[in-house]
Amino acid sequence: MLELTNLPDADVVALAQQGREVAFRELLRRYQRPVFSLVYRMVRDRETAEELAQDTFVKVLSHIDQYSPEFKLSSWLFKIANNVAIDHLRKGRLATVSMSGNPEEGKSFDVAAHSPSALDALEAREIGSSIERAIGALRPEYRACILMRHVEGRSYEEIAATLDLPMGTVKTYIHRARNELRKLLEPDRKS
Amino acid sequence: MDRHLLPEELEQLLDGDIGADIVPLEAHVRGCSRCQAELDQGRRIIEAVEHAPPLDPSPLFAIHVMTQVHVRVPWRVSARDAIERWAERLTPRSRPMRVLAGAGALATATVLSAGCAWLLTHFNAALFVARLVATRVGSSAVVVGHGVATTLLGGAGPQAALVALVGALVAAVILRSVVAVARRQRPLA
Repeated sequence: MLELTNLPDADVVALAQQGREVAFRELLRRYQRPVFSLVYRMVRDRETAEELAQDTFVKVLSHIDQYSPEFKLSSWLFKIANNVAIDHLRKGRLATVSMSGNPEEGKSFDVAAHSPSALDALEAREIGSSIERAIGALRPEYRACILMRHVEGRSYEEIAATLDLPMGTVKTYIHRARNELRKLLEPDRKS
Repeated sequence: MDRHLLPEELEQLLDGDIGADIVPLEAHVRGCSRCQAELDQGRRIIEAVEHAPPLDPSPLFAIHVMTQVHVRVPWRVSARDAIERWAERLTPRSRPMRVLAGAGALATATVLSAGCAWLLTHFNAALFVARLVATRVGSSAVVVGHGVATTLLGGAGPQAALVALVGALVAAVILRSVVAVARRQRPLA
């Protein structure tokens, strides 16, 4: 019986490329939580996050033979997860024009509204705290960067490589995200 | 420094940058309660984000993923696995039998090595015998094959037999490839 817990990612991927099912399961065990956390905080809906996170892993594991060990597996995973989440947010954001035709009065709304349920209660507990709401209010680009930096603990270089952004842009996004969080949390601090 | 820190300077301190340009910033913060408060607030926000709890997917998440992934097993891995399974079946389970099998393998290897050594020392004789056997077997095979084909298929027997042989080989290769592809593309349970 193969013991994969202590193997580095590259070795587990090599076993997965040989068609070892246990290696696929080990990769899932290692990364399902951080990938799901990232996607959930990006899209802020548990059911959607489950589907998108599953899509991420299906894409990665189905093309595991294309993985090159010179890159980090986690960077590849998070890159696909972020792209999947951003694509979903872009598709789901519907803009409406007001009756007067004034684009400034346009609103955006969720595609599917639903009555409160146990799932909503779970979501409220998980992402209902003030810090989670503040993170959810950030622009998706800022949100992805600050989650990778301060939740996943990635360096600026890793984030830049994962998101295909210049390092200066990553720093700018993170600095702006922190400033926005400060403004969003200011009323809570004062109260 | 006779001014408060700029936002980008606060961010440099929050990032933990080091260098000669950071020293005056740190010195200012030590003497300025407003900038110290801003810096502390920034650190509290970072700490709050860093301590955001990990969020777990549903218990069936892994199963749902695995049912959608198709595993491709390279042919060399399948072959190696098959040989390992075959070798495992042939390996005796008890220690005395393993010792006996080892002794038998050693004896066989010794005989083969001795045979190879003899052939090398009597190379010319061995080469003559090998040529003689090959000539006799080859001639006999051609005669027998021609006779069978002619008997079964008439005048064009040998040519037809050759075509049939080539066709059978091609069919076998195609069938093997189809079976190998079907075996490789199985979904994970």
